[in-house]
Parts: sequence; C-alpha cells; structure tokens
Amino acid sequence: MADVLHTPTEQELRDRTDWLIRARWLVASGELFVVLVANYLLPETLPMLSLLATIASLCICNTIFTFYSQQLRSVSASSQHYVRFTHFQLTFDILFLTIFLHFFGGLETPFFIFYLIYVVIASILLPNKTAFIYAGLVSLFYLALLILEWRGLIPHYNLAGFRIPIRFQQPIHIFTAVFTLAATAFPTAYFASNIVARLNEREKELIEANLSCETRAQELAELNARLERLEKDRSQFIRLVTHELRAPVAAIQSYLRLILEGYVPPEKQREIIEKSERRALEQLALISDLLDLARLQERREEERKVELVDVAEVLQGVTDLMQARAEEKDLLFTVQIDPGVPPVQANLEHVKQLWTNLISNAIKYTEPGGIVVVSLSQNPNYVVGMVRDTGIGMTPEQLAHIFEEFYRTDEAKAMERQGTGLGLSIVKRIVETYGGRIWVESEKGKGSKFSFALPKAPSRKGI
Amino acid sequence: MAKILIVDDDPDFVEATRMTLEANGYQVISAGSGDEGLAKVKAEAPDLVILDVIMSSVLDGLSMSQRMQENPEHKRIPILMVTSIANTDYAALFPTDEYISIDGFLSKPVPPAVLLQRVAELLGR
Repeated sequence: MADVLHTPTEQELRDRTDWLIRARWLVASGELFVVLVANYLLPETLPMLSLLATIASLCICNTIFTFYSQQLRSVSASSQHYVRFTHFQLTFDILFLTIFLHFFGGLETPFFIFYLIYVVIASILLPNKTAFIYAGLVSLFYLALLILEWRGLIPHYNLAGFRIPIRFQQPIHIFTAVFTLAATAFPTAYFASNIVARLNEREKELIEANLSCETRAQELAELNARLERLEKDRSQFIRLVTHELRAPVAAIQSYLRLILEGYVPPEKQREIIEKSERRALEQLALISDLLDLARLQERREEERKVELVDVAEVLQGVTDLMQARAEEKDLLFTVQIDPGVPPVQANLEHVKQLWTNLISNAIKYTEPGGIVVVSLSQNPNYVVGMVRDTGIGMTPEQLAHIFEEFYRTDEAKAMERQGTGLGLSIVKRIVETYGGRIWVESEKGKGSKFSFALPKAPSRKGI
Repeated sequence: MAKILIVDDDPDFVEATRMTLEANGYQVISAGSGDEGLAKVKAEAPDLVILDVIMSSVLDGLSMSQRMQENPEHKRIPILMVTSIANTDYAALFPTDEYISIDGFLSKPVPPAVLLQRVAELLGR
C-alpha cells in the first residue's frame, strides 16, 4: 500500500495524460495570443505564416495525442506505457517550442521562458529526479538552436526594431541566454519536484493514517466480538450452574412436601428420605467441585502452594484407596509405575485430585469384569500418566464435549446417576495450570484412554 | 382415567410427580429423554405431557415440544413445561425465532396443590 504514490495507479496516469493534453491546448492558445500581440506591436517583422503553421501543426499533433490517449484507455495500457507516452509528449513539446522560438527571433525573443513550463510539468508528471533531465534537455535544445543560427546553418529571423540584428552572431550573448535558461530551469526543477514530493509524502501519510485507523477499528471490533462471546459463555455457564444447583434442592423440597402433605405411606417414607439424602450429598459434591474449579480459575501462581510433587507416590496413595472400589466391581485393576519418574512442580492436592478423578471415572464407567489399567512413565520433558479402561466409551461427538463443564453422556448418566459433570473439567484445568496437556482416545462400547503430560520440574543441578 | 406422560431426566422429579398424580387417580407413564418421550407419545397417546425443558441439553425439551407440533395427532396434547431454571432466566433460553407452543409453565419445585390444579385445568379444556 505504501507504494501507491511512487507507482501511480493507471487511473492517475490516465488523468495526468488528459491533463497534459488539455494544458497543450492552453499553450497553443497562449502562443497564438503572443504571436498576434507581437505582430500588432511589431508589424511586418514576424514570419507570420511560419508561426501560424507551427501553431496549427501543434494543434494537429495534439488532436492525434487525444486519439492515442483514448486508444491507450480502451486497451487499459500499463503504467509503463503511460510514462513512455508522457516522455514522448514532453520531448515533442520542447522540440516544437524550439521551432516556435526559431521563427520568433531565436536569441532575440524573450519567450524562451516558455521552456520552464515543461520543466514544471515534468516535475509533476514524472518520477522524482526526471525534471532535471528536462532542465538539461531544454537548455540543450535552446543551445542547439542558437548555435545553428549563429553558424548560419539555419536562417535567423530578426525582431527588427526590438533587438539589434547582430546579437545572434556573438557567442557571449548565446552563452548568456543559455546560461540564464539553465540557471532558471535547474532550480525550477529542484523546487517543483521538491514541492511535488512533499505533497506526495503528505498524501501518503494521510492514506497510511487512514489505513491504520481502519486496522485499529477492525482490531477493536474483533476484540469486542471476543468479549461478547466470553460474556455469552459466562452467562451460559452461570445459567447451567443455577440449573445444576437448583435441581437437587428442588427434588429434596418436592419429597419433603410429599411427606408433609401425606402423599407418602409410612412404609415408603424411609426410602424417600434416603433419596433426599442422596440428592443432598450430590449437592454437596457439586458445590465442592464448583469451588475447586473456581479456585483453579482464579488463584494466581504465587498464591498456589507449589512444591515438588512425586507423582508416583501420589498415584500409589490414590491406588490404595481405589483398590477396594475396583474389587467391589470385580474389575481387573493394574497399576504400572516406571521407576525413576522425576517430580513435577505442582500442588500436591491437585495431583491427588487429578489421579482420583481419572481413576474413579474409569472404575465408575466400566462394567463388572472389565479392565482398568493405570500407568506412569516419562519422556524427555514430561511425566506422562495414562488411565485406560474397557468401559462404555464415547462417540466422536461426545468426545468433543467431554471436558465441558456439566457435560455427561447419556450412557454415563444411565450407568451412574451420581455425578456432577465437573470432574474432567477440573482435571483439564489442573493439567493446564501446570503447563501440561491432556488428551483422550475412546471408542463407543470399547473403552476410553485418558493421557496427560505434566512438565518435569527443572532439575536442581541446573540451577 | 387421564393418562399423563412425565418427561424428565431427573428420576426423583419423576418419582415425586408420579406419587402426587397417582394419589389423585391419574395414570402416569414416564420417559428420561426427549426421544424416549416422543416414542411414548406415539405408543401411549397420553392426555397430557409434563416436560422438563432442560434435560441433557437445553434443546432436548424444546425440540420435543416442537416435534409434537409437527404431528397433527399430537398437536392437541397439552404440554405443561417444568424447569428448575429461575423464571427470569427462562425467556433467555428460548431461541427467539422459533415458536414454542406450551400450554403452561411451572418452576421446580412444584407444590403438589399447584401441580394438581394446573393438570386439572389443562385436562378439563
């Protein structure tokens, strides 16, 4: 985008070409006016026929340029085409002016300042330093004309009564005239191209400022959209939490009301009270999970009690607790711990919770007689834990949601009424809190395999 | 004797409602999901459906009520919606561009007297 002004667009070049052609009509009329006034002031002096013929041929050429420009437009010529065309026109103009000056008295005419017009035009239309070439070119053409007249190679038209006729034969006058022209043309080229360059620079800054404003606005819009999404997620989460928290209380309240209003026969009352108690416990578990989740989300690292945790030792402790449950369900429960697994930098309770949630899930969602395998190993940078079962498994669609808060598959609900749907959210958050990652492979009806990797604690020797 | 279908994934809610209704002489059948509910609507032709809007997913209950509207036979069965979401949040859950036809709305927990009154109203039409 920044190059826009250094390489003008075709549209701009077309406009400039049109402008140059219009300017030439103006120059032609100006010259005609000058010739007529001069003829009035100095009657019988000027070669009127030649001068008028010169102006007429300029007009004819300009008509041809007009058509050519239209042709360029219809074939949507490239910018190079336009630049070449401009060079051609300017050179033609200078040659033409030289012929005009020749008939107008050569050295004697004051109208050689017309040359400056083309230097200015070159500064405007052509890239940076090209104007200096034209300053040189006009000086050369003028010098050539004067030398040709001086040496008598072409006739000299004397402006009788205006200038002394022998001047054109004196090199000092030729030198003075060409020097004056060059001394004016070069500064003109310098100033004009400087002004044009500065204007271009301003325009460029303006365009860039506009662009950066647009970028900024776009960034803000994106940020805003992201905040809106977050806000939406947040209220969705709150709604879910509300729903989950209300459900057990509503169930308990319904049961209590039934008993109070005498809907429940005495022999069934104990059963109903036990069901109520189960819901109360469910509520307590949910609240405790929600608290864990909130703490994991909010606490900053310095507030967390981080220590070197021996993952193998924690796993051993959790396994001892789980063994009984696995035996109750008649599961084949094996634990394989590789020797020499290094510690990780984490909170002990979090690591305990990580293992507990994963292993208790595996036991919960595996039919009696199934297998649960837990393993702990390491790779160069990570401590890798794995919990595999031959349980109910999940479909790919269910897998996509498995770490979402409150998500439980219908199969899981059918198998185990109890469950907050937060266990895996907590697991994921714990793993991510310590810079690790967790992944899961599963096949419906075949089983699931949860794996996590936690970064090894930096070795003490290294410090 | 009017036949009432309860669709809710919370078995305790089903149980409590069942006890209330059966004590008052209604025949009660139940389903744990929207799909199961639709199947029971077809098979058992209940006189009234008590539907939890938020089962496993928010749209479960909603889509069940919408699919009941598509079938002219089931369209006339009144639906009583029940949810454990607070009243004020309730509106925000509905897709605004879809027409949800429900005949009544109650918030859990539902006092037995209120439940019986609404059921009687809807069946009496």
